[in-house]
Amino acid sequence: MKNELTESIIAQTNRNFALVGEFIAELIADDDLQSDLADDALLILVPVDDLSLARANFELALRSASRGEKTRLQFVGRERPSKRSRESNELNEFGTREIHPTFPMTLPPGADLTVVYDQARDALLVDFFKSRRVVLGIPVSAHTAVRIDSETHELVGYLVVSFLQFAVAQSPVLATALRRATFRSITESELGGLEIRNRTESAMSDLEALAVVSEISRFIA
Amino acid sequence: MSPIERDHRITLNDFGDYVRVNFTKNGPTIIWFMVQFEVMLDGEPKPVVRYDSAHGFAHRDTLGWDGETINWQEMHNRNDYRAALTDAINDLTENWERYRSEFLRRGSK
Repeated sequence: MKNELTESIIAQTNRNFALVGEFIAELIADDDLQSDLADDALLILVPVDDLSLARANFELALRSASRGEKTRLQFVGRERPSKRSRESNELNEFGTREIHPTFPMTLPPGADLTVVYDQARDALLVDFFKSRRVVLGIPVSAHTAVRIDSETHELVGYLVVSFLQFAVAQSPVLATALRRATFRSITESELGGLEIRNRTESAMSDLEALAVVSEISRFIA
Repeated sequence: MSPIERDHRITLNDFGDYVRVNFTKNGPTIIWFMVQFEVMLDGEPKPVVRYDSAHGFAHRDTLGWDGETINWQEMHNRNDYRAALTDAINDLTENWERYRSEFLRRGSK
């Protein structure tokens, strides 16, 4: 990554420094907070009152964990419970290093393979287990996410966003997946917590539309 | 009550820049502290600026490319380490961008 500061990097860093101040104040005030937290873990702070920063930092944590960094998320700004018994049940931090996606021990029969194309969101979902597993979605690039079993961390499938606009444009063979696909909306449970924020076909640029028209014209000719 | 030490690296952005916060407290009193802003360059952390209570008073060290102190400045709350710790984070919140760019400029010479 280039070291040029973009507006979003500056904004995220500013807000995180402010969050560090709040976190230190919590550390000083509460001797029990983080008493079992290993010093060598990279901490990523998650504010309870700033959803956009929480989301950005959560994605930061996933990228950090996917690089093999020992990463921990720490909530900041939570009201501390007054009773120790309740406190012992509070989840204030959790490790992400434990997520190690693996391929399934046994491949399911072909009939279990589910392919769904969500036209409204231009997203392709692949599920090896007929959408029977409870999944957790983990973004691995700008356009793809792996879907893992939330208990066993076995790979359950994939999600590709901007499927026609980007993925098929990059690798036309992917279009054959549509022959197997069911055309419907991808459900929230199938997304496993992922949020799709790609452009839809209605947002196709003039340049892209011109490219499509040109390509069709070439076929006709 | 025995002193408690905290030492955490807190990630700040997608570059992997982080701030290291290390302090020892005895009850509500901070008896030693160090705050260091480090930028990540080609996967290697480089310390840019450090605030600590070494030498018996709170001060800020501006660091060179090889980690050497090229300039230091006494902090306003030189003997109140709890206030100095807060001041350090406030100073970084306001000035990290300048400290970062000046550090990179020094390194590129």
